[in-house]
This record gives sequence, structure tokens and C-alpha cells, in this order.
Amino acid sequence: MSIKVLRPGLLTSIQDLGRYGYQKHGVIVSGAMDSYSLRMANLLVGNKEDQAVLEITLVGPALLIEKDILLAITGGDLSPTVGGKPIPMYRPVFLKKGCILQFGARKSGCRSYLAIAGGYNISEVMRSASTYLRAGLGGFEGRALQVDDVLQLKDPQEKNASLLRQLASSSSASSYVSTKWFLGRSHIPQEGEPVKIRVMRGRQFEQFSGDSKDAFWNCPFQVSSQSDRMGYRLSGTALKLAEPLEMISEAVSLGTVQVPPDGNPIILLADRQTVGGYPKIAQVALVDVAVVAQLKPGSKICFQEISLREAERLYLIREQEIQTLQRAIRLKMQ
Amino acid sequence: MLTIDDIREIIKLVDQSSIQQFQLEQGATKISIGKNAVVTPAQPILDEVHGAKTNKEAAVTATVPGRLAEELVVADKQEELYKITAPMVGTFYAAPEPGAAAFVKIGEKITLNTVVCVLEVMKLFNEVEAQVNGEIVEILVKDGEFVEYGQPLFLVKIR
Repeated sequence: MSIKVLRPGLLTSIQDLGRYGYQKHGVIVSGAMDSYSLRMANLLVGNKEDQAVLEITLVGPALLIEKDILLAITGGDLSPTVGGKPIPMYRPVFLKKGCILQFGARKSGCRSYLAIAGGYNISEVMRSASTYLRAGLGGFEGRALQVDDVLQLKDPQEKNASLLRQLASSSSASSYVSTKWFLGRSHIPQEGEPVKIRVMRGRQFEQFSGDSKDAFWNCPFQVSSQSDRMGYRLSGTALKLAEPLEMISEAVSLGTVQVPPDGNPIILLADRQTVGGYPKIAQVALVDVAVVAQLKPGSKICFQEISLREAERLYLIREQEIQTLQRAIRLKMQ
Repeated sequence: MLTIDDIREIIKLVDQSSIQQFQLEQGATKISIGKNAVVTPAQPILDEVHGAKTNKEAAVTATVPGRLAEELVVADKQEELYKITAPMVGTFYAAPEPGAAAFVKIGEKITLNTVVCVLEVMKLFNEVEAQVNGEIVEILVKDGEFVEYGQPLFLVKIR
């Protein structure tokens, strides 16, 4: 059984944790922009954390649900509703066959993640279900969803099926049933104020002029409208090198901040190219990549320097929290 | 890392032994098991160790007015106040997320299914429902406070 797309939204695509192992052949990683939210969505419905989910950007879709499902929506708040009623995010929700899940106004963040117990039936290309939009590869026919697409669903495994049955049996007249427990949405940036993004110095940091180095730490930058899944272009003080630099292209990674000759930095994200030849002023700490991914064009950010050691510590703390959550959710599902 | 099975095994062993109090620390994990008594925080023990009699007396007098006050409240109003108690251990939060409005305020009317607060355990937030119709008279715990199982959280005037 399946989900039918009545309205696709701005950019709704199938993503998992990415296509690793092929960058040496020029195949980019892709995957969820906010992989933390993707993992949370999967854990909430009892899936494996790396299963493919729908990544929904700024303007969400309308989806006809053609079977009883258990779903979870995490990430930015794009006002999900069923039958005109808002449905809660960050918790498992049971929806009855035949209802329409619609997204509305954006309230916070930039991207929502919709996981369904059992997962979407998407065949993997090079060991990943992620959609590589520019190459038309992977995901649902290698592209973003369109009107009348039908997404096939897999049956939930026994452990999440039991929560589904439990919620289904308490199903009343209301359009959805949810649990009495939920997750906090700690990493979604607050609106209005500049968002603090923690970075380490990049390999070419010292090659920038003194003024540019100061400006990088002290001035806010704005996410420009030319930002996409490949990278976020920032505008602000133009960053200049102390003297011209000839570079051979070298590997770039998730969260690399590179500066092209116009002086406006670019934060490389999920659909980043595999190598780059622009000087790299900084590298965003992995825990804050999920925060960047929830910024929308127009948002302001400030960079804050941390050490590699601190970035690793933050990463370990977060992974420990995810493990704790995984155990807590497993206990709830028993 | 201790598994649930390990913890079960430890509880079984402690239960069969004559040990009254058992504490284990391993990395970030702390376990405290006590028999036939509420687990008391380390503070009173420290006081005894220091042997300061005045400390003890101070502690006693400090608790008495609190208890009296509570009884007085009940007596004054000449009606029974219902206590909403914690259904589990966890960290008490009055609002669903930082900066959001509190679930309930003093004087607010509540029904059986009104969510009055959330308790956070292992990063999961658990809603606590009122289980009673009435009006919130007093909120007994502070935001972010860790509460024990069965600890009173709210006083409610039953309608």
C-alpha cells in the first residue's frame, strides 16, 4: 500500500544518511541536509536510524495516506495537519487510511523529515536511497516528488507494528492518535537573532588578510537566496586573501566553509561537490551542520571558533544522547 | 555500558542480600538501589559526620514549618485539595519547550485529560495528565527540578 502525492511542495525528496564510498568516482554523498532530524524521525517510529525518509523543504506537500500508518515528523515546523487539525511533531502519530496529510505555513526551521514505520519501498542505487537531484540518480526516479507520484511503503517490523496496533486500538473519532511522550526539538534555531555556528579554522585560514580574519569572527553573515542543498552562500563582509593563492583542488567535506574570489563564503552541505579549489577559511563542527541545514535564506549567522577537540567532544555527547534516546524509545515500545 | 539485563541482575542480587543501600558508578551511568526506604540525598549523612548538633536541629526546625504550612492550607480552606503526583522519576518542565507558554497556570481550570506538565527521562518528554477535574491551586515544584516517583507536583481544588 502506498502514499499518493496530491501536491508536491517546493522540494520534497527521498533522502537517507547518504551515499558513501563513491566520492572517489565523483559521485557526491547527498542524503539528508539535517541528518540529526532524519535519525530522530526514524527512531520515533521504531525504524533503523538510517532508513530513507521524505525531506520536505519550506513549503510542504499534501499526501493521501492509503493505509493505516505510524509516522513521525521532525525538523523544522511546517505546520503539518490532518483534516485541518494540526498534528504533533517529534512523536509517533497514528493516521488512518484515507486521510490527507497537508503541510502549511512555515513556523520554524527550513526542513521537515517525515518517517513512516517500515519505511518507503525505494530501491537503492550504489547502496543508498538518497536522491542525487542534479544527476537524476537514486531516490524516487532520481527526482523531487511530483503530483500523482505514488510512493510504495514497506510493512512495519514487529516492534513498531505493536505500537501501531496499540495506538490504532485507542483510535477514537479524532483524525489522529499520538503517544503521550515526545522528543525535544533542541537544535532548531530561534527566529530573528543571528544564529551562533561553531567552526574550526580551515586549512587556509592563515592566508586571509588580518581584516578578513577579524570580520569572519566578528560580523554576522546572511544566508543568501542562492542557497541550496549543495551549499549555503553567505553575504556580509567580503573576505580577502592577504596575497593571491594558487591552489590545487583538494577534498572538501560536509560543513567546509570555502571562499571564492568574490569574498562571499559558501558552507558546503549535503549535495556538495567532491573536491574544491577555493581556500577554506573554516570547517563547521558536525553537530552544528544540522543547525545550518535548518536556516532559511535571509537568516543571519555568526561564527564562533572552537577547537577540534571541543568539536569532537560535542559530537560524542550528541551520539551518547542519541543512544540514550534509542534505549528510551525501545522501552516505550515494549 | 550496563544493559537492562545487567540492571535486572544487580537488583536481584541486592534484593537477595542483606545490603540496604547499593550504589554503582560506571562512566556516566549512576545506579542507586535502596531497600524499604526512600533514597535520601547525601546531605543529612554529611551533617551527622560533622557531628554538628546545631545543623541537625536547624534541619528539623526547617522542615516543620513547611509541613505545618501545608496542613494549614488544607485546614484553612476547609476542603480537600487533590495532589497530582509524578507517575515516574524525571525532570519537571512546566512548558513543552524553552520559551513556550506553561501548560497550566495557577487558577486555571483543568479536566481529566489536561496536560499539566512534562517529565523528562532519558531525553524523552512524558506528558502528565491531570486525572482530575478542578482548578490549579499551587505548583509545588520548580521548572527543571528533578522529581521522584509519587512526589506531589500540583495542588488542585476539586470541582
